[in-house]
Amino acid sequence: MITRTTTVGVLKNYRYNLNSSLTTMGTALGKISTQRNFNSFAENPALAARAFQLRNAYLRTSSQYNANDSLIHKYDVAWSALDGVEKNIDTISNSGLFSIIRGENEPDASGRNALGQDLCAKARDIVQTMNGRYGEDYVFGGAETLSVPFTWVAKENPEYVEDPKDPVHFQYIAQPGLGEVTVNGVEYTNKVEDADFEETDNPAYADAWQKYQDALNSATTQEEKDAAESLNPNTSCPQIPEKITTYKTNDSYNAMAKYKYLKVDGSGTNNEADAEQKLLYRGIPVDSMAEEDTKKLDYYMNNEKKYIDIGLGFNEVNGEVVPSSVTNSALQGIYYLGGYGTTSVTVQTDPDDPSTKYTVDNIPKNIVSIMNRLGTIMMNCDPDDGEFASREEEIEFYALAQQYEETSSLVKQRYTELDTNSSFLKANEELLVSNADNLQEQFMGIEDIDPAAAISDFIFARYAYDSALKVGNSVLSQSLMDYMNF
Amino acid sequence: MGIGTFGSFTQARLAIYAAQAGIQVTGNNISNINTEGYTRQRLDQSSLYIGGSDRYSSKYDLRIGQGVLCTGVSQLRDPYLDLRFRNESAYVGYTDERLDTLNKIAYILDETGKGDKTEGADFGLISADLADLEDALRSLTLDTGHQEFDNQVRAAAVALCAKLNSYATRLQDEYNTQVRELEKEVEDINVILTKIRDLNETIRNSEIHGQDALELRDMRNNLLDQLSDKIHIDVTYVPEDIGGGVTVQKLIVSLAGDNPDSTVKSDSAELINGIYGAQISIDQVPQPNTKYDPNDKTSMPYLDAKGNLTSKLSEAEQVPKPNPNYDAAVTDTTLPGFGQYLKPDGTGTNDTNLAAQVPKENPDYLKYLKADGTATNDPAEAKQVNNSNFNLTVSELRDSREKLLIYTNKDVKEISAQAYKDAIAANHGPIIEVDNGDGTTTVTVYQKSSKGKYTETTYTQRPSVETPLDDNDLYGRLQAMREMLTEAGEFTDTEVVAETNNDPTDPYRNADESALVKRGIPYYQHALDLLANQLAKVMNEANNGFMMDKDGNYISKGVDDKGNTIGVPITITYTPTGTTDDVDYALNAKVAWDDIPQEVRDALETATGLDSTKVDGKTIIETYLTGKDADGNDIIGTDGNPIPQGIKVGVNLISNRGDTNDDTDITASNISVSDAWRKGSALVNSFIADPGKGVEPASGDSSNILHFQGLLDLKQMFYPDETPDTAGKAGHDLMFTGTFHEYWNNVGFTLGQDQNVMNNQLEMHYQNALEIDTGRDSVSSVDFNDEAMNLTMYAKSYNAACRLMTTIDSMLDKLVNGTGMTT
Repeated sequence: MITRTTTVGVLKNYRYNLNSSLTTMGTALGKISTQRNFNSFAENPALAARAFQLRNAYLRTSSQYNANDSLIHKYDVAWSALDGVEKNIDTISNSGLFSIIRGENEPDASGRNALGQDLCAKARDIVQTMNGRYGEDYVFGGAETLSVPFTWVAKENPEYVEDPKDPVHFQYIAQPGLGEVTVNGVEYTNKVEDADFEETDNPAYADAWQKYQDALNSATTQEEKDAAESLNPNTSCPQIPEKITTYKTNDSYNAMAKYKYLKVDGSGTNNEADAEQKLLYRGIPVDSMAEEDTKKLDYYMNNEKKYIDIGLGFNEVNGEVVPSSVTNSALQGIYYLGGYGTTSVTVQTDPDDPSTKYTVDNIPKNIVSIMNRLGTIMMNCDPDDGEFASREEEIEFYALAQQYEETSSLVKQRYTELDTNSSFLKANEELLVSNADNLQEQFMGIEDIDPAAAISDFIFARYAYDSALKVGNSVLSQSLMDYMNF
Repeated sequence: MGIGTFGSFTQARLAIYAAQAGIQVTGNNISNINTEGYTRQRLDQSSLYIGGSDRYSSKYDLRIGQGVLCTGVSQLRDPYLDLRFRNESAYVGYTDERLDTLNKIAYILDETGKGDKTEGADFGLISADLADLEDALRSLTLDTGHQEFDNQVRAAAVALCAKLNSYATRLQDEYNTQVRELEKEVEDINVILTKIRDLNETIRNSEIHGQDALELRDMRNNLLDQLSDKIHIDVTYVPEDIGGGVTVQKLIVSLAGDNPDSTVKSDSAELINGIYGAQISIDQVPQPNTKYDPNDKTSMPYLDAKGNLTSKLSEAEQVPKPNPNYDAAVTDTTLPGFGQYLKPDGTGTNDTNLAAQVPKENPDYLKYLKADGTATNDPAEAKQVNNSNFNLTVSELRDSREKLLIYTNKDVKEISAQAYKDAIAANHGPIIEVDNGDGTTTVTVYQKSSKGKYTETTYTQRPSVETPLDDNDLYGRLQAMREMLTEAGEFTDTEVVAETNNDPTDPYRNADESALVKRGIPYYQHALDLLANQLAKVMNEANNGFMMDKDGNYISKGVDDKGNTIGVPITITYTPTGTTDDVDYALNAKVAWDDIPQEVRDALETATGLDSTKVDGKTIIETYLTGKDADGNDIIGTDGNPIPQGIKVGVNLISNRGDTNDDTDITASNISVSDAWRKGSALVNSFIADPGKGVEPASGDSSNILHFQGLLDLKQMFYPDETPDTAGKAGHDLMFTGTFHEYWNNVGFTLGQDQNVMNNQLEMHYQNALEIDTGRDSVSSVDFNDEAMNLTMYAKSYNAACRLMTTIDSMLDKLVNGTGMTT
């Protein structure tokens, strides 16, 4: 059956088509005005999801770039600090120190004191450098970023007893009622006049009496008897009493117990500034060989991490970070200064004399401690002729100097290592920039319109719409009615 | 017999009448060209022929027609096209409504092209907030310990929470709007049904009086078209014998049988039956008491295993389902009274292990709320609200005077004379009325015809009853509205999919087999809740824990020889198999529960009183670390003293209110930065103690911050039953694996895909409907050319008729005045 086309049907179709045409034009216009290929998931769910994925990856990459950039700056600061350390080491290597080691004792050995002072100052200088900050964070504190990593503390006297009333501070057992302190029923005093005492045979008198008796017994002649009699302590040495007063001393008394610190020469002091200085890293003595200290320092140097995600494929397995997927931003100052603890060094003070070969224990591994100890020993030298204070110090000096060479080489090696890490970060930064660019290009390729195509689409849609309007007008105006003439 | 002298005038007059009527019909068509639903009319004409065969007629008589008669005006309409159009219209209504609601959801959730301009536009909103949070955490890994960077993380979290709150609120607003629209739609449908019913009555009366009532039929067709958009309907016309040999056309409108379950019959419920019409209503139920105030025992529905009140189904103690019909005397296992408990299949049992498990109810709980907000257990007193599934019921059919429709089935059979006599004798009369007890009545009439035949006529009368509709009985705009209000896709209550009890009081009367793939507003609400809940869960979990040493051993606070604080590994004493010596085992965070020696696991379970088959190993270890067992008592070590406690650190970062740290029942609408975090730094940077600081972490240790960042950046598993509203109800099938961002992206993708599919379907159905409508127009609509032709035709025929009359007049004039006359 032939379809009957009616005015109402044509109108209805025309209205629908005109609306479609207008919608098409609106869509084309929307693309131009928003510059986007789609403005909702519904228009193209797969592409919209892909675009969001790419955008998220782009944001993550940008964030990783920022983290990487921040890390590069931290490494720059660290690099500058280690550069300063290296320069100090070079300066020392070229100083008179090694002239001494090489047996080229300068004519005026008294210069050793000054050299010692210089070494100690440089050691402090290095510590100061290593305590530098990037922003508000200490660069070389490992994961401890808010506390200064390296500190000097006065060498504590292990025999120090803080309690002034502890018996260890008193020389004598006091007479009852005269003691300065009483501990467990026993009175103690430092005043000899208040000390308790007892009468005992005088060993000097007994010795003199014995000699007198021996002489009498062996005398056979009067002269010999007279001579023996002259040895009678009662007459010849009345100053030697037969009995003496013995004060009751306190066996636990320790004269060093009252000193909080130890000086360089081993004597005690309560003045922190006079005391020998000891280097601490994050509160732990760097040169300590105590197990609890070495465990901590070992953890800091080898195991403590501060991981940062800089786009290396960050991943966790069972809640544990996969180390290869992140970078460790914790720079352990102790590592870059040669390590911690002490070692034994064998030295021969006279190359030509094998009998001068010694093994010296407790030589620090850390460059700052080595320098500080070297400086201390040199400051202990005789200011006039530069002689070492003792043979032991001389031997220690040689051992320290030998260790210094080894550690300075290690420090330089680690400085290079830092430089390598820094270079890696810079390369990574370039990669991240490239990734971000690629991602941006990708999502823009998906989302953004091709202006030429979009404009031609719009123009075409507008032509179509205009034409539809014109055609519509003609269609509506023409019918047989218009030609009727009654 | 020839024509009378003036018979030809009649012929001409009828022709003039016909032409005038034709012009009128044409005029009516032209006038109504823009009237919606107007069906073009046509003048029905027939040739007038008077007389039959005369008994004595001459074979030479000419029998000529005597003009034209206008027999009526009819509509040009194709019922098949109406049927097709109304079917298609239901599809259009369904897809249009779904797309419309999806678009409204998309206005809220679709972030394509949205976002501020700072980073370059179009990064989305929640997407950008998630990225901001990750970026802030990454910054914090670098600048750990600095309050301002911690604040940046918090600010990003606040922004994210605010966005989720806003989205949830807007979705709920949309839901509420949709509810109002559904209620209005039901009202509209009822108005249409009433109009159709009333029109039927008028048309019926017109028909009885011989009128065609074409305009009324147009109105009715128009209403049927409107109704078909809202509900998929079957429209049938059947003859109705109104007695006296008169038959009129009866319109029956019923649901189109859309339920895929062929056993369901309610999907063919009648809406209109002639002058009777039904109304549709949303089932009302007593408003449930959902106050859930822990201080009010009448507002908490369940009891947990410790007898504490809880509002959560997942926390309720599971107890055997009691048998309400239990009768101790019944021993027959097939009888309803057998067994104290009910098995999952509904049969009785006395074995608690075989019984179905149900949550333990709080006997003090008052189930409903009255209009004044107070609670009650009396459903009659309670405020009536829409049922949660928006189930609908088709009422019984009544006419405009509220008279109930009684369906009558008539069955006539011939019986013998003896049977007739017996029946009359037995029933003391020819009419027997029996109430069948099932609402039907049977009337039997025994008759003897004039021709001596005996008949038994049985009339079965069944009053129209209301029909509760099943979830899938409808199709069309109304059903789309319901589905957008109820369908939760993967979050669907498993009961919805599995329930087949046919209980009309149950919101889910029959299983909706496709519920898991239908996504309405609830799906997107739950999807948003799942994002919020999962985010809160992982962030709170990550920010709560126990300090451990560098090797991962959980530690307690101790003191070394120098008086410094140190971390001491927490151990548990156990006796290895085959030995008698006790051994201490240090609990280590890096050792998974399954990798812990069995003896140690046993010792942990004994110490804590927890069972690893019921709780996870991590919970058991953490309970042990608190030093308290499951009942809150001190755990005593082998030395007779309480064991050292681990060092618990951290607080919840995300809570269900900004002024608490409560992490229960977090949804998108209530997710907030916790009170503790709001007030200051609360992020745990690390759980690893710095050995140099005793039990404190290094100030710059950011291991936990990196873990936080990882939680945002690494894949998570999303299960549909992990929101407060779906816990214990939805299935536990893995719904999505991906990062939070990917999950959110997937929500947008799913929505976009739904829109896209629905848009394509709508386009298709709309095109189809348009084509069919054009087809209908080709039959029924007015065309100017046609009408112009009709005008010309009727005008010409009018002229011709007039000319005929003039001619006849002229002939008669000749005959009367000019014949036989001489001057």
